[in-house]
Amino acid sequence: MESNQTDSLSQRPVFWLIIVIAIFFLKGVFLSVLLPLFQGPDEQTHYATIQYLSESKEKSWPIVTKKSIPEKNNIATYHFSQEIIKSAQITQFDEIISQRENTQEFSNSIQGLDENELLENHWKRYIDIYPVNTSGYSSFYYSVASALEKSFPDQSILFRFFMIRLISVFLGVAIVWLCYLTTRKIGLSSMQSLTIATLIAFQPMFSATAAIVNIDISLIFSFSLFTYASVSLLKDSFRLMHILLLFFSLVLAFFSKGPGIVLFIIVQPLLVYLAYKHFKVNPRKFFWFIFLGVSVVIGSFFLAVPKDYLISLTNLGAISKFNSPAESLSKYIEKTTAFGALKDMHASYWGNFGWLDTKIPSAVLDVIWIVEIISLLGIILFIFSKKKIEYLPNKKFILFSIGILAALQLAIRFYDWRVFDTTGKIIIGTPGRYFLPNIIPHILLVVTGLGFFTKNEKQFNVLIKVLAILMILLSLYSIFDVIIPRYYL
Amino acid sequence: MPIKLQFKQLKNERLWLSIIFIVGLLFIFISLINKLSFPDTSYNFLGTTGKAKLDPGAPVTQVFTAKENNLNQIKVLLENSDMKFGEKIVFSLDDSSCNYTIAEKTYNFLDLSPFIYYRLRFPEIPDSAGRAYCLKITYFSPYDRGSDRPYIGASEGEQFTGWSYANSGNGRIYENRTLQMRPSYGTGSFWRDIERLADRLSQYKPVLLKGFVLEIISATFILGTLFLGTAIVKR
Repeated sequence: MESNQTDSLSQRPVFWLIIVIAIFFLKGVFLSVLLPLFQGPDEQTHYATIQYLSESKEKSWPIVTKKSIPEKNNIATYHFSQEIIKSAQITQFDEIISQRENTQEFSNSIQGLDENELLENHWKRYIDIYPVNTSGYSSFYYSVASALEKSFPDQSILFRFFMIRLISVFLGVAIVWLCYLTTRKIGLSSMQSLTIATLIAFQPMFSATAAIVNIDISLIFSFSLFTYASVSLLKDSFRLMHILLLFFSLVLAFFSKGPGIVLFIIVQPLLVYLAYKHFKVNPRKFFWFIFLGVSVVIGSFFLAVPKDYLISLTNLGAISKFNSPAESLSKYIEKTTAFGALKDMHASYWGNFGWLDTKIPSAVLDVIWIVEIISLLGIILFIFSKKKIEYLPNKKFILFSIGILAALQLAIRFYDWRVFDTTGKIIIGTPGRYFLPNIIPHILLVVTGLGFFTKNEKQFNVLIKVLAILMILLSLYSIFDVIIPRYYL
Repeated sequence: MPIKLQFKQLKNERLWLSIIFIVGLLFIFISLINKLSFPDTSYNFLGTTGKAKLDPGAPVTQVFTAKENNLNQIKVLLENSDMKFGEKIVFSLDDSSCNYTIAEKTYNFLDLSPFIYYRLRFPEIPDSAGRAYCLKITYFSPYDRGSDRPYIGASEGEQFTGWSYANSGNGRIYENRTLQMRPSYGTGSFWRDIERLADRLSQYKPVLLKGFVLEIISATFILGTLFLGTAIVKR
């Protein structure tokens, strides 16, 4: 796919990659400033968790135990530190959260009303009411952020909080870089890879996720690393470096967020395929060997892992609200595949910022929907087509992308269904941002699907350029016509 | 001949990409400039909310006092606003008697629903501070949409004591309530508007990301993006 391009981009790919990454970084810093304090989904809880982990192990302060359920629109009822509660109150957290018609009250200077109080640093930074309302997850993101939080004890909450947001920006930078490496590994030209990296760098929801305090960004990073390692293995077969990267990404995913477990499922058929290709054994023998191997692994897994853990993970011990699993499942599918539900999911994949109250207008999202449907058609035709299209990725990479996409979809929906089964309500839901960990395979599929309808590599190059220009425009539109008017105008 | 054709194709491709990029940028920045007005943020719509349902031909009105000079927009939260062919909603800024129209804007079925607020824009009124104005919203429709008709959000609470609006559709005056609307002000010049926006963006942010630093970051990001976009178009 390295055509005889003579453009500056192909000649100086490193320079242009640095440009893309630098602009992504600046955009990340700008976005991290645009989104007001705690206005990312669950951001106050994530920060409370980081602060809790930063507390000294010896709790030298009096702790009160109070059993109460936090009220959704009253931050004061959460068992967080005094600093978080006071800061949230000063920045009108309860008035703005999920209420798109409300904003902070602004002064006529660069100093906000009562902002000095946030700078005085005199509030308690530890939680003294238990049980704490911090996140139940353990994530490497929290560990890194907690180290940063502890590094600046004399700085204000504004400084510490916005510095932690920058961790997300740096992870975003790494994801854009991994996207470039992945597409290069697949065999796309440097120009094509840079253009696809631009698509990722300007995807509005990914950009926003890489600008707030959250653990989803660590999961997106883990998935991206896993994708790169997998693609490298598929391309170059077994190489120690790639095997190590693959297992490192699994460990990172496990210590990122719950859905990271999906990669442990995906890695198995991947390794089986790689072993089959590498050892070139008799297919029948190989099949029996795998059958036996998988039986032993699954058997050992069930014997080794405590049943309680499996039951809690799958929610199988709880009493169902339905007469049968089939009824529960069909009701769940009916609810979550309704047109409105799919539209909401689509919106929050592409751009529903803040506390999901700052949505890109549906007319814009509808255009993206049409593009994606066309690309889906292209992917289906591409998979079943016998035509060899040199300038598109090899089918094994496409099948891998579909596999990882399907696995995450199924896992998130399975977990959501298990909760639905026992409550009769959609409690967790399937917001599109939960699927951002697969942003690289997704964009690769969209580009390939649309690329199927092009006649030659030149047309394909024009196509991805158009997509990149449109993505840049969508990103600018999201920032200047959606986010800024929502919070400041 | 084939070389000429290739060159022509390349030129066409660049031309179309340039057009897409430039038109898109113009749309984005003109749209931002149209919204560049600073609403009164001293109140939020909290607590009990209601609906001021719009009856065809019957205006809903609210008299308010401008807090600042350079009043240039009124933001109104209009819900259920997807209009059918033949329907329209007229927003007008009148004098305090609600009889003399100062500015007017009509939305019909061809207009896309705006992001959050409908905006009634008009030339800045330099000496607006302290003066009373009337916001009038009138809905016209050939259909009987029943309870499905558009409405303006309405809020009540301590902060709205003394405020009121009137719905001529049901002939009622709602005391101590307000329509969900915000008068919005300019500064008298485009660059001062930008400065004021930069001030707002800087509030409740760490010192090292405020003011000049933030302006440098945003300007570099915008210029860098334009540079990258141009490179994609040209290459």
